[in-house]
Amino acid sequence: MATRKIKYINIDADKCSGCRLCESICSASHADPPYSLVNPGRSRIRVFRDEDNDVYIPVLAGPYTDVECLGRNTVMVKGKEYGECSFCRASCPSRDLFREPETDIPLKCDTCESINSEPLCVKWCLSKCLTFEEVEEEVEEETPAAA
Amino acid sequence: MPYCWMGTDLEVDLSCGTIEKRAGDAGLVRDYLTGKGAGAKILWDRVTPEVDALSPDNLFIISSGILTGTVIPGAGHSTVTYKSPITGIYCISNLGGFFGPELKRAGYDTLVVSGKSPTPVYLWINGDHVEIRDASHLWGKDPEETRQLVRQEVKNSRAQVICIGLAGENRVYNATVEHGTGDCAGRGGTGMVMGDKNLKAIAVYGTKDIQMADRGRLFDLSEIILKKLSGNRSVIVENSAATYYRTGIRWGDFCNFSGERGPELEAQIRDMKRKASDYMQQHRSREIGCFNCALRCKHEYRNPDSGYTFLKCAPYYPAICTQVFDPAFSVQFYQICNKYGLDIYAAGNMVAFAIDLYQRGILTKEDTDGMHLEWRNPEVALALIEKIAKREGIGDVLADGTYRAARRIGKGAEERAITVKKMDVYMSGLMHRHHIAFMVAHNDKADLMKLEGSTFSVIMHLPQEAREAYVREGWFAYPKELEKYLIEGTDETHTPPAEAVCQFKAHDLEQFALADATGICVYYMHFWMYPAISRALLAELLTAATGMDIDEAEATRIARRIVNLVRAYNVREGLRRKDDIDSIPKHVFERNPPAPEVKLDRDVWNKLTDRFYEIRGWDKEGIPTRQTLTESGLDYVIEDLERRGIRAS
Repeated sequence: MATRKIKYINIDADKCSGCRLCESICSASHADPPYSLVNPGRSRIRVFRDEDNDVYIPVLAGPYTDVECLGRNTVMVKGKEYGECSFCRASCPSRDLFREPETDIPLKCDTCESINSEPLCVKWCLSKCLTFEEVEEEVEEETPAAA
Repeated sequence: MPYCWMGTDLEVDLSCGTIEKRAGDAGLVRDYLTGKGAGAKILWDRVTPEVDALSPDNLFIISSGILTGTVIPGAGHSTVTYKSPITGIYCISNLGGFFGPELKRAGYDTLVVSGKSPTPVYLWINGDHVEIRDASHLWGKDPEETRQLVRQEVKNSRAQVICIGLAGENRVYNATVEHGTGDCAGRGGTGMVMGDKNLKAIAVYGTKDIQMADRGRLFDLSEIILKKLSGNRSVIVENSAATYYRTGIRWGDFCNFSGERGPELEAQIRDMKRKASDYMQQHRSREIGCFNCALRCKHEYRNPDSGYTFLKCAPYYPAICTQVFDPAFSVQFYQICNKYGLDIYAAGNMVAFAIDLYQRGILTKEDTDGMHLEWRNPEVALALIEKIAKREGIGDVLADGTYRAARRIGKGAEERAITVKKMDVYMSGLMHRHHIAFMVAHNDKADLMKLEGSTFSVIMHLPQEAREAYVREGWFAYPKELEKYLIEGTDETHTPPAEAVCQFKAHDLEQFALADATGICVYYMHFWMYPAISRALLAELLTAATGMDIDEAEATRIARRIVNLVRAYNVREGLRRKDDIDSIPKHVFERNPPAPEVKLDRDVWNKLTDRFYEIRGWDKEGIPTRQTLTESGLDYVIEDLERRGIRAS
């Protein structure tokens, strides 16, 4: 059995203070050139906030999809109904979340690998809502697909 | 062109419904930064003494700080500048939360609202697209509902909304502009100005970049700030509002409460501390931060039956004003004020004032629609607030603010009104020491807010060793030349030397000016016991972020320019020495403090004022001298003042 390193950014939403420092540092550190700008629209982590209902959920940008979902589900949190898009990680054509403003280039969290750093959103999160974990996981050796 | 600066200002004239985008002036940014600086400059240029605070020509200016929206922790504030209907002079309210950064990302540093709409409207700023929309269906709605409805209508759940509640609509003098999660531009009558313009709400959303100049440096500096915020502190200050209130009682000064102030009341406050901490553990559901802020000073409370309330610090204030020592009541008090968009501190003061008058027989049952006003009665307090917000019965009189209400009521009510420059005072009990009272009297906004926890009022009173450690560990945020005063400490009467009082006051004004012009929260620069950003560090941040070459001396020059412009503005409005020194309620001078502290003395007070004016470069009447104004590059101010017959010496 081979192993590989899996990186986890764990979210404890109860600890989120909704300050969006993670959005700022993410967009700044991934900018070209680095730290030349701040724009949450370019961030690969966005905090979903509903301040009237005590819902604060950091959402990390996930995979790109070129089609939107066919059906839409709803999610009930603390007695209030939200569209599932609110917490969805996809960069998808139905909304502008996780796509660069103007260019529309999809964004995806790379746990700061592309900038050779530990995840900065985690480092800058003083409320300890975000934590980072690296786990060695066993993976099955790849076998050529049967013809 | 400076970095961090969007370069465009937005002006909306509600009288004619025009929207104008104007290129900003980079030279002005260099001289005044944005935020408080920009607001003061626009107000000086356009809101002259001829303009009444409640005329369409008064402006409602929201300006983000120059560093707002950058990566710097704590840089998320904006300021609201206007001529206050309460004081009739310059006023600034600081707005936390998320509005400032969003306004900048929409592309604007400053938003100026002028004129007066014939019907209720709200403003929708979606980047380049700006629209004045009908708000008649929102009229009467509370801030929470308004925010949700506006977000639905503009189809953007991430839009940032500020709005007024019923109090603002009804032109209650102490109405606020509410933003959510306990953020509001509160003191001074912001909500009344907005309501007077028939402007219910402003919603903003933007996706523009905020550019920063020196990349790596700014990141490094920000990491230093974060480290300071999370670092260990060997000097731990045992400090709480409860301590202040207990001291206040010993001084026999307690808002309007005229009942027994002996050990029993003191014990109740001590008990309240325990009750409040129990309540906090049970009901506090979250700590909330403003944009880019890791301090999380806003506490969210879950109420069993009425949603969420947000408050800072401990819930003592409503308890003191009403003598109801129950944290659950305090939370309710905050909630009802937020719901109506009413300044909590003024509301407490007005309620205490009304109960006091009733107890003295100045108000009777006929005045109060049969309501019996008494201390220790939560229903009475909440009912009064409701009446004020709705301008019903006695509430209509109180809604004019304590100062004006006292004059309407007469019969000696004036003597019981606790105001500073006509503004309702927050926690008058804190004016127990004369150096604190002095700070309040000479603030450019007649307010005690953010003085009660500052280096000067707290750290100054620690033991020698702790003060030295405080400086050694780098928590002293003022310029280095003031260090010696802190090390020196207070004398045997717990009073700092006169020179220290004047120096700290002079620098306080500068510190506030810099915080509000850069958009950095005063918690980082001055107010909190452990400010993470010293003036030297701020200068470095400014240079790294904006690309303008600003060292500590230049930052101080900018601060002085703003302070002098604001002073000149108030002088032009007629403010003079007597308005400063007579602004503190008379009883503060009449109290006999417990030993070893000494009574506040008029002579000392006058000497302090002389010295303070001298340090600031103002003459004996408090008018900035010709030399001061020229040094600050304010020659146009000299000309304007002279045209109006005010001679700077």
